[in-house]
Amino acid sequence: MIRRLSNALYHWLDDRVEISIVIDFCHRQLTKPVPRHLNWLFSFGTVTLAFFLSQAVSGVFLMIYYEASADTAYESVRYIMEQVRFGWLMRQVHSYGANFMIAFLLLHSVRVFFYGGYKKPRELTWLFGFALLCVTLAFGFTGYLLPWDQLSYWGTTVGTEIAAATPVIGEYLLILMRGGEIISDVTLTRFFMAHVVLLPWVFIGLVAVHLVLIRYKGISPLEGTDVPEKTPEELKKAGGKPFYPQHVMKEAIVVLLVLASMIFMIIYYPLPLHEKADPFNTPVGVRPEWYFLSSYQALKYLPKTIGIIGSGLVVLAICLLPFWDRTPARRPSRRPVATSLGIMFIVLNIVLALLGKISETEMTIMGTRYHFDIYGWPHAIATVEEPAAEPDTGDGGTE
Amino acid sequence: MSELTHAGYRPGAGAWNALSARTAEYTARSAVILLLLLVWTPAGSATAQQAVTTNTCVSCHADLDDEDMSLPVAEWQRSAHRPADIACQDCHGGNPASMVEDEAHDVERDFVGLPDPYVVHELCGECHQVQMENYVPSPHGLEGDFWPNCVDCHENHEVVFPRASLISIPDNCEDCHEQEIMDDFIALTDRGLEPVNEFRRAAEEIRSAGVPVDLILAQASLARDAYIQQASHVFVLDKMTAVVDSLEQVYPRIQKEVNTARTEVDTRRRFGWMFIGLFLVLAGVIWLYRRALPED
Amino acid sequence: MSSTPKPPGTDVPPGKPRKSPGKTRPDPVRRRRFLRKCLGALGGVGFLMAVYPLIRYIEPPPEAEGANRVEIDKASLPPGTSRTVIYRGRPTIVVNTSDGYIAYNAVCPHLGCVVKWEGGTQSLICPCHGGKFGTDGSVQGGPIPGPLTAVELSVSDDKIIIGA
Ligand code: HEM
Ligand code: FES
Repeated sequence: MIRRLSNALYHWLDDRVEISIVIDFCHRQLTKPVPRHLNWLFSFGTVTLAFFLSQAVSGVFLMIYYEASADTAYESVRYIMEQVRFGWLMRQVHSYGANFMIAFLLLHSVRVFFYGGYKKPRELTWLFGFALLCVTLAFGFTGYLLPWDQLSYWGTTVGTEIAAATPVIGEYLLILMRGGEIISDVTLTRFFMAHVVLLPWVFIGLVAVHLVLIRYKGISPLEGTDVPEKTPEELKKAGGKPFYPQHVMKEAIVVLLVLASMIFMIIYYPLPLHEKADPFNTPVGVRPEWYFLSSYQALKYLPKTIGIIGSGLVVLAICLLPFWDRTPARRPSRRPVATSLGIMFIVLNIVLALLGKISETEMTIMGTRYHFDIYGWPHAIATVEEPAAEPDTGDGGTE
Repeated sequence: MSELTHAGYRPGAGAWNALSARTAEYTARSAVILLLLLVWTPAGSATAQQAVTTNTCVSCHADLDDEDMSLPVAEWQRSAHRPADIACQDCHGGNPASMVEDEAHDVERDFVGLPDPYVVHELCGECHQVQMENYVPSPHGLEGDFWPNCVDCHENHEVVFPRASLISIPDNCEDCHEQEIMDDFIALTDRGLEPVNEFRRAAEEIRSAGVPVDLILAQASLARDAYIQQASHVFVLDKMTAVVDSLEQVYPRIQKEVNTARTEVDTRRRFGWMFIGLFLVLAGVIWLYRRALPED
Repeated sequence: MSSTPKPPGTDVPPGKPRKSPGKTRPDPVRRRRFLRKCLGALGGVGFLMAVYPLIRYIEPPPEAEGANRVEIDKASLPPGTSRTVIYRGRPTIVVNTSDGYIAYNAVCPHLGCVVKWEGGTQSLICPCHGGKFGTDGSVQGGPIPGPLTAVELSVSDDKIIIGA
């Protein structure tokens, strides 16, 4: 019944606007075979895309109750979490989704790097991907401020502060970003605009080009760039499976497993909403979100201008990677230098992020209490014999 | 004027209103107490916010060879008063800004070496007013000739957060009291405060699961304050029992809130598991389907 | 979720000859058709499960404690004046008449305009089509189908309390 109906509709439309041309084209593109070596790592791009869709849906729903102003932002988020039915779910899906999306985006870039996916003729794919990375991080940065709690307020304060270190225009840039000397109502509304209007549309445009380029050129082979790439027919002969349905299903499985683990995190470790932002009261140990932590920490070790120029150069190098790494080899084992440099870069970032995480905290390790300074260096401050007595009855002073 | 939206949504605000009304049911003194609370909490926090400038009493005495003179500093540093920025001069007078011995110990500036045991409660009472008000007419106060006084039980320099275990300090209470009497007091304290501790523990657990607990915490604080302000320093078993009895009337209500919140946590988790299950089964079916696809 | 995938072979209807006796290798076409049905069913369940919270989410949220109660300072409502407040999401008019305070749901039963207090005639009038109500809410003129709905009101020392 349904089949007959849709058939009729198809023919009706086809008689009028020849959709068969479009459909055939899409079908051909979608069933193009992908190389045999595609494993689970090749689904991270799709996982990122799935999270973008989930962010779009949950974001639209959050906007129904969210009010972007310093007076109401925090209250409205709390209202969503405490009063609105399933509001807790919506906020958790959105804030956890942001973290998952960035995590899988980073994994995706790492995958592309190690498989040499950026090499000729896929430089443009890489460039658009890099732009997507910037846009997604901007999503994270602007979205982090929106709940207007202490963590987001001060995290954004230190985050924007980095821009001030840019030579010459630093101060001006900072003022532009914040819309004033400090983070205020003005900052909130411009961040909100970027987060819900500007960035989504830019993202959609970029991702469309990214995906078209990928389908058009096909996933990169393992052979070097000096070997001519196989045509779809050759790929098929060599055991390549069609993108749809084989590969798509593999990706769907990964997406479902990742979503399931996100739901698990949501119900057992929900992300909290802290106290409302207080511009006159800086809490201790302010730090940006985890994905900015490594660069934030790196900047602590370097003089301001050198740090900002240095990290700017690193970012530029990553952006232009396909243009200076023009060696033909793609297989990770065939390019030991690139592979080991990549691993070192990742390890360095993880170490920096961990240092950033423990800096300005205290921890008891084997009976000694350590304070970690801003560089993440431990200083013994006391020997602890027994755990401090729990305040049992308190002295009646209410918080 | 009621609000249509959440613009005026203040979490727990309703709770406080509702609660003050409820407390009035079982305490005639709540108004006085709330007032006192207002007077006395800012007093503590205002001092705490002062910049911690060097206190010359501390810097000098810490290095003195005479143990009797230096130990108090070490003890005070472990005390609950230090973070609250209550320091030497608040009880001993003198000038904590001067490095000159005579100036620092200036009697003109109310320096006293050893505060008179009969006025100790007044010193403490500057901040701990409710406790003092209860203590003075109690058997330990005027009647007992101010013995024991505050520091006999709470220590003078190493003041710590009070605990039920303080009721039976070895070599302290049993000089005058039978062990049975003390056991009665301990049992009563447990009866009055254990539920509160229990609510707070439960609330922390529920909060980490993402369900709001402001109402529970507000009610628990109010109950605890009621106990501390009306029972803790009265030292008359009958009066204290009456307070605890009235508190026990409120506890089931708080317990109900706790249970409701717990149910909410469980509901959320069950809902989440339904999704997880669905996703896993879907993934499994897709996997099977993919394996069943024709080879080419 | 009871439609977990059955072990291979069980989707072959009993009684039908199997392809290769001894081995339980099902016909892949049948197997695919069965799995496709499973997928469809699970997808449907998933869709409903995802849509349910979304619909619940856009329903008006339950009122916060204390929201179904509005307090007005007596001082702000001198005799002969009126004030319109939002009570339970509806405009509600409170009037200090010579016979005491009255409160009505201010939505006109005719076509939903909001009524006003007219001190001169001691009546509530609707600006839209000339509706007129007495201080007891009864219809006194205009095309109105029925009286205004009274709203619960109580008075304390210095406050007028609307709602329970
Ligand atoms: C929101 C961001 C992104 C989305 C949704 C996305 C999506 C995808 C998808 C679905 C693929 C197909 C293959 C795969 O999944 O591995 C892909 C491939 C690719 N992506 Fe991305 N991507 C994003 C960001 C990036 C970034 C940040 C980079 C690099 C800086 C990048 C570079 C590439 C390249 C070069 C390919 C082709 C790889 C090959 O042919 O082997 N993408 N992307
Ligand atoms: S709407 Fe009031 S008279 Fe028509």
